Amino acid sequence: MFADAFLNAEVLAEAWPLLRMGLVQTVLLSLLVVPVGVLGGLLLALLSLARSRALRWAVAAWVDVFRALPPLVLLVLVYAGLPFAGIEVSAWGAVAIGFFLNTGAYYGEILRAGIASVPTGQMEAARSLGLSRAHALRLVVLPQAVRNVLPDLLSNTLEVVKLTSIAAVVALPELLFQARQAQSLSYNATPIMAAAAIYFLLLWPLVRLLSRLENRAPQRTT
Amino acid sequence: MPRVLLAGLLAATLALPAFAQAPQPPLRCAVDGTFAPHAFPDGRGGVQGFQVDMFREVARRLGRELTVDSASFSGLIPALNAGRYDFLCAPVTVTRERAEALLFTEGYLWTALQFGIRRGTPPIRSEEDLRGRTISVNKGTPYEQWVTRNAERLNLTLLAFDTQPDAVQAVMAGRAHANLSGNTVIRYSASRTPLFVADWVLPGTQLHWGAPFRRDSGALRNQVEDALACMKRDGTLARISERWFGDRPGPDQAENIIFPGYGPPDLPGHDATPQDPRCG
Amino acid sequence: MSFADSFLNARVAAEYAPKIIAGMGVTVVLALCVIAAGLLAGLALAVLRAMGVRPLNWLIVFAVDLFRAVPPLVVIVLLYFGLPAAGVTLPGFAAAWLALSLVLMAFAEEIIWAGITTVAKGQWEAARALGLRFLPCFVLVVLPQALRLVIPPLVNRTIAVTKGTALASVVAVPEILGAAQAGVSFSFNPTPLTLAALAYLALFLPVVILGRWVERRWHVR
Repeated sequence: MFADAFLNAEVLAEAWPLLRMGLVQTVLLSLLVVPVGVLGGLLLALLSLARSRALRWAVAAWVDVFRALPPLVLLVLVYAGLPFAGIEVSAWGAVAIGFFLNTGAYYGEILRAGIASVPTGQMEAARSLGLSRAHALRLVVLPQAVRNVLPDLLSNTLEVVKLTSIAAVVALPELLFQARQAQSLSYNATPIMAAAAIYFLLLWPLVRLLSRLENRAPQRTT
Repeated sequence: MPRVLLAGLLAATLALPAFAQAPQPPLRCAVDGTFAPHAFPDGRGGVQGFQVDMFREVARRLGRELTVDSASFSGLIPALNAGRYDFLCAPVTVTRERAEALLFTEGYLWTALQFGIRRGTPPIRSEEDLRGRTISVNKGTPYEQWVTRNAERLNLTLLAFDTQPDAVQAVMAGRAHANLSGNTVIRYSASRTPLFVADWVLPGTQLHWGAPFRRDSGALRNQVEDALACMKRDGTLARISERWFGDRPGPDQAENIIFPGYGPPDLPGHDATPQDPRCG
Repeated sequence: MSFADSFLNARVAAEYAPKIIAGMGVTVVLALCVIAAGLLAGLALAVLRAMGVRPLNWLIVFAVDLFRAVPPLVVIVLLYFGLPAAGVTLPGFAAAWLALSLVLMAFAEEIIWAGITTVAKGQWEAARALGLRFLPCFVLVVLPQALRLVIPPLVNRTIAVTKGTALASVVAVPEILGAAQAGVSFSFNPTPLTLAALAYLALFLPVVILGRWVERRWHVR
């Protein structure tokens, strides 16, 4: 009975083409939003180094707002709301914008903490060797910053990949969306079970890796 | 010299058709692809259904290509207003509120509000049988509006889902006493799920299903309506309807009635200019 | 239509504000239930793991990995749309609560466990040398230090998970986003979405700022 409802081979065979297409979309989505988010985060982290107090405060406020707003709400707001402002936005576009804003804020916080964790002596030494501020940042500070917060960066990346599942709500045909489509055709829960299994197989290695890293280094802020 | 002239004339004559038929851009429309049998997945990443068949035929008669997008119903009208689509191929119920904001074609189907219940539940015979019950609906539809409007009077609990199959599932799982949707959808769901049964039709709820256009798309609306009128006249529409809903519509059904003028009669957006479709 | 007419329409706002405020109540209740269940369960699992029973530990690690790898929305959908096939029909609120609690439990267990292992062996040995047995040693010496250590990441993770309450709109829970979506569709105006965004900010912005403060106050280098 349980097997029939959740592990039905016949339904799975029928649903497989849909699921496979969905998986491809999920992978493509991830390949889009992770770099976009990191870029946004880098921008914010660098802005937070500004000399102007007002600018630093503005960045902090921006980050807090986009960490407080649930990503799904942001996505729906962009997808359904922007058209009213005359801006046409496809599902992919809405996802790109929404993730840029949301995950950018998270990556920004992590990178900011990373930069702050690099001793100021490093920057001073680099400057005294004749490097410009920009060069010092790029060649000396940032690499160390990234190394310091690598577990957090990876952890956030895992979160971002999982977050792609919300794109189903704006009808982007990624894995969860296709699983629900298949389910509505067959009235059987197997496709959703299969989707969960696929996510697990896809992401479990990263989870294990993170576990190892987190348990080796002393506990830091996320 | 005359030979060159002749050649030039010949070339020009051959080129004329090409100029006359400069390809028009494809018509863009959208539908909620989870609303069987009107529009639902075809298993290959696209949509199939009554709406798709009907509007492909319309586009063919207009000599244009058609692209059909699939998106959640609650976002379709905002998207149309934003210019993302030329019209909606989704079955949109023509209400006075909507007719004030959008231009509709005349009705191509009649819809009535109907309930679907799980087999074994006592049939609903009147509104009183609904008192205190939970009703499942598809979000953003007139069916959700009906339940919301009558919730206090009849002590109804609303369960609103992103898709129609989810709403039917809710009834099957016992979460809702009944599903409220359009008659075609209820009949189709019942034909697919032996345990789901079409039940009571709400009296006085017969409405048109028409295709909505933006207010500034009057010319296109008239073109599409002409194509629809031709399809009604030669029985194409009735055939498509029979294919998807199971029974052939009679002469008193919207599939066979050409309404006067453009747009649903007696509603905003109606253009009394008599229709004179040249059916090829 | 001007921007204000579209996104800040007073008439539409007045019409749909009550539903959205009601949704805020649901969101808060759901969030509190998730926090309570998730943190307690996570703590319980971490303590169990500390007892060192091998097969039990494998089970715990598997469960934790499972709920860290599978997206929360997938878990919610599976519990709500899948379980009825197994004879268990959860209402939307319960499905969302259970799913989010399991996710928080998994993360909390990992975080607390990392704290426990960090409070290094030295503490254990010192406590044992003083004659304390396992349980008092664990509860009185190790756990308090571990918890102090993990408060910042725990607070951050809790905030992240509770924002998932917005996902409950997918399983027909009458919370903020669901109410807003209906409002937009009926009025052809995006103001309800603006209201929803403001409502979420009103709920979570203070929490995020609190999280920042906690991080600064409790951070142990």
